Amino acid sequence: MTEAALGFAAVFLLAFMRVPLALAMAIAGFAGLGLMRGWPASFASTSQVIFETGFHYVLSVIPLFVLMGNLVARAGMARELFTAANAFVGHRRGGLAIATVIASGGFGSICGSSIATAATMSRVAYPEMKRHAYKDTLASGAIASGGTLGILIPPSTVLVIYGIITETDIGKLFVAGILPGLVAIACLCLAVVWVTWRDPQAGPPAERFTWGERLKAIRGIWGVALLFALVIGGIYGGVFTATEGAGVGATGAFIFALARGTLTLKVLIDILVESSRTTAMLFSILIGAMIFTSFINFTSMPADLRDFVVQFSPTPILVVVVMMGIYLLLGMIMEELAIVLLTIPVFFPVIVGLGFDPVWFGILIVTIVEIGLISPPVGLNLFVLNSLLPNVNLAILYRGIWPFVWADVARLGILIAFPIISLWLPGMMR
Amino acid sequence: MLKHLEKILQWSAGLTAAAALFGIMWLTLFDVTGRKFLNNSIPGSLEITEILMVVVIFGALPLVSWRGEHVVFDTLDPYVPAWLKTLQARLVHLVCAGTLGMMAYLLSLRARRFAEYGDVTIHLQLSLAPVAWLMAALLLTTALVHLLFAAVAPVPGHGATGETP
Repeated sequence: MTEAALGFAAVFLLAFMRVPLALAMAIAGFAGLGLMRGWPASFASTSQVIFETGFHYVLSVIPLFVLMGNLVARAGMARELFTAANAFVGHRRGGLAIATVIASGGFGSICGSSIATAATMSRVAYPEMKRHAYKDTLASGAIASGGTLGILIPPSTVLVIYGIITETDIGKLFVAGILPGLVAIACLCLAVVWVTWRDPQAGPPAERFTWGERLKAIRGIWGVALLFALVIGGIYGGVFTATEGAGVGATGAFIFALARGTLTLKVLIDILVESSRTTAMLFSILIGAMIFTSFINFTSMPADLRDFVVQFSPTPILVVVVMMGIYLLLGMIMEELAIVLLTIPVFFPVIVGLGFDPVWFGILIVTIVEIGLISPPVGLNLFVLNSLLPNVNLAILYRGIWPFVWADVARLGILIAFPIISLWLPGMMR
Repeated sequence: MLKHLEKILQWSAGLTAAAALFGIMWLTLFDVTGRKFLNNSIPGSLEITEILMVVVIFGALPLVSWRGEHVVFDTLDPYVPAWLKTLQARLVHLVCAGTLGMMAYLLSLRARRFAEYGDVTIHLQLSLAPVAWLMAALLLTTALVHLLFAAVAPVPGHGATGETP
């Protein structure tokens, strides 16, 4: 137990000194193993982790979904989604913000990254909301929180990484994200309604569309529908694995981008290099986390913690609630994904030991990461919007995001209380 | 000078990684369609994908380091005085260089062992040693990038947070 605690302390110390998290975990794991089992064992184990993580077929799912997300972000599909959603709800108070949330959810169904979703939607939805005199607090809040739907609604890079670390079926995790995604959209829309109820000036109504225009707009999203049906439908129906689905989806996105004339050779190379960089960054964290995990698993911590938690076994749900509370608090000051990666080797065996479903826990973890992306002061989506929308400063972003953060926390509560929302669809899979 | 180096990295490692990623995409597609519709997959496509993955991940790593895109905790940044920041950046780069150099060394040991035992992939009988050598070389390149930044002025854009999905 002491060894593991020292290991965690070392990681945090290094990370707070600004050593990249991936390397902080690698150093602590490597040194910890070396001190406990001897250096030759640590050498062998570390080089094995690096080699096998880099040389692993199933993991090609990560670059392929990253590539697919970057391609659809350029293909202009976000505009059609926004137009379609807007056609139905735009004339209501706060309707454009609701349309932003719904369109983000739609975009999340073909894009597995929250940053790409927020960045893409900010280009499409923000000018429109500005034109209708929406307040920046509501506009930016809807885009930032809507963007996080990208990692809940499948495909999702975060679920892929969770699946790999915990050896949970990625296809099941993806399918499990669908219904919670709809719950999330509903909660965020309610947050918009609440904001405009308190302050009707925040989101004045826009023009009403006729039914003819609505039908036309809804026909515009066939591309998104097709890609989603192909990839997620294919995985759900057991036609192909998550990795194969990612390859099919990336190629489909490439063909769409090509057909719409948004791809030049230079743009394509940019997208490919950017996707490779994101992949390398994700893998360095993955490898660091795995090196650290192999050290933690050698300490007595997982077993100790399991024993400690067993005393809660009459009400195991308390353990989950406490864990989520810890994540929420830590997430205010730190990168949530990093904390999750760091704590999964310790928390995951506890969760499984208490008899909870790993798929359900995965959905909770994604929700936590989503909240971390938008909760001030350290929220990556807020920073992204801050750099993309120069007239919206961080103070406005912080002020506008709170209703959406609370909506997400409420959703987390709903998902904890009703595991069936996460588990019903994957339970039907073959 | 630095600009030139970045261009060289971009056009060598970056472009190779990009091409490998594009390759994985098509390979996966042809493999799936071949298996589902023609009952005939590409032999050894799994192993080719694995090798291309190594190129994508480790090829792009020097660029990630160059652009300071690793995930870092910058929570304490507002409290670090300006004079200390340069020193801190240099020290961190030195730590990174050391760690990545160590990883490169570990992979070179593994490569030598692969060569000694003649380890090959199951299907295509491709030798594993060059793969491990490639990892070692690219990790060393990344270590050198950090060493360079430890020696010269702090990286432009070093203050940026890394990207997460």
